[in-house]
Amino acid sequence: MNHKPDQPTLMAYLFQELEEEKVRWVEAYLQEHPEVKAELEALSEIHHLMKKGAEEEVPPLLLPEVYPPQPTPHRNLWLRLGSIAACLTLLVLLISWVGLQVQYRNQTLTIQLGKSTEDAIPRNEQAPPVEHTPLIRQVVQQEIEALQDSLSGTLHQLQQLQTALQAQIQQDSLRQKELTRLARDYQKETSRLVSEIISQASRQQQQYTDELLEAFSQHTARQRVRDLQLIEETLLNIQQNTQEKQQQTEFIVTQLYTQFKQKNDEK
Amino acid sequence: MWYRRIYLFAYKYIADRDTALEITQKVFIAAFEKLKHLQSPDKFKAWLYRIAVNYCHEEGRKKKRNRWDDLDKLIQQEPPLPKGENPEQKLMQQELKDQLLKALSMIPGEQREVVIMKIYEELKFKEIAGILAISENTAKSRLYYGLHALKKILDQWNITVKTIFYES
Repeated sequence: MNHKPDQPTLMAYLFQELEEEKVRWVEAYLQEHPEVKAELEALSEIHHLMKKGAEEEVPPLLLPEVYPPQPTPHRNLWLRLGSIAACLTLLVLLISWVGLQVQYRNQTLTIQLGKSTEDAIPRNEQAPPVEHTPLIRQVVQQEIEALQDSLSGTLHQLQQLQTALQAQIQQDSLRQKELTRLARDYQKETSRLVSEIISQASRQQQQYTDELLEAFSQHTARQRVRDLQLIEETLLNIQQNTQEKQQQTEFIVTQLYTQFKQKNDEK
Repeated sequence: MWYRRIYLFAYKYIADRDTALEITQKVFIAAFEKLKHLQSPDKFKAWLYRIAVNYCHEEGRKKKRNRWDDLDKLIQQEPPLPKGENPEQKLMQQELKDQLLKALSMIPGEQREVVIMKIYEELKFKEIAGILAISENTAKSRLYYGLHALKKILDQWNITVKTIFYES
C-alpha cells in the first residue's frame, strides 16, 4: 500500500467516482500520508469555493412571446353583419323552396304554396276566384305594413352598424398613427441610449487605458529608482573594496621593501 | 433547462455575459440545423455540449487575438478582496463572484472547460471525456491541474474558504 495513487485516482476519489475497493485503498494511503491528505483537502476547498460563486442570473430568451389572438370589435361587427345576411339568404331560399306565391289579380288576392294554380289546375277546371273580402284585405295590408316596418328596422340597424364601423375604422386609424408615433419615439430613444452607452464605454475604456498607462509609468519609475540605487550601492562597494585592496597592497609593498632593506643591510 | 445550462457554461468559460448569450443562441441555432444528423437521442447532451465547447473555443481564440498580453500581469497585481466587516454583503458577494470568475478565466482553456463541466455542470468524468473526445484519465488530470492552478491564484489573492465564510 505504499505507492501513491495517481492524479486521476485522486480526482475520482474526490468526486466520489471511484470503485469501492479503490476507495478503501486510497483512504488507507491517506491515513498513512497526511501530506497527500492535506493536498486533497485543499483541492476540495477550492472545489467548494468555486461552487460558492456558481449562482448566476440567466437572462431571458430573446424570443418574442406568443399571445393568443384577441377578438376585435371589427370582427364582432362583421360577424353580426354576416349573421344578418345569412338569415336573409336562408329566408329567401326557404320562400323559393316552399314556393310561396302572393298574387293580386282582378281584385282577388291569391296566396298559395307549391306550384302555381294556373299550372296545377286546368284553365277550364279553374276554381272560381275567391271573393274579395275586406277582412283579408285588411290582414294583408297589416302584413305588408309589418314587413315594411321590419325592413325599415333592419335598414336602420344596418345604417347604425355602418356608422359604428366607420367610427371604429377612424379610431383604429388614429390608434395606428399613435402607435407609429410611439414606435418612432422609442426608436429615437433607443438610438440615443445606444450612442450614450457607446460614448460612456469609450470614456471608461479611455480612463482605464490611462490608468493602466499611469500605473505602468509609475511602476517603471519605481523600478528605475530601485535600479539606480542598486547601481550606486554596487559602485560604492567596488570603491570600498578598491580602497581596501590599495591599502593592503601598500602595506605588503612596504613590508617587502622593509624586508629587502634588512637583508641588504645584513649582507 | 438546456438554455440555462449552455448559457452558464459559456458564461463561466468566456466570463462575459453578452458573448455568452451570443454563444448560447449560436449553439441552439446550430443544434436546430444539425438535429437531423444526431444518430441517437441518448447522445444529445454530449452532442449539445460539444457544439457549445466548439463555439467557446472559437470565441476564446478571437478574444486571445485581441488581448493585451500585459493585462494578465496587471491583473495579478490587483489587490485582494477587502477584509473585515462590510455592511454591503451583496456587493461583496458579487465581488467574490467576479474574482472567482476572473481566476477561472486565468487558467488554461483545456483545464477551464473540465473544471466548469465538473464543478458547475456536475457531469461525470465519463460524460466529460465523451464531450471533449478525450480519455477519462486525461479529463481527471486536467481537473487536477486546473484545481491546483486555481488554488495558486486564489492563494495569491488571499481568498480561501475560511476568509470567505468568516466575512459572510
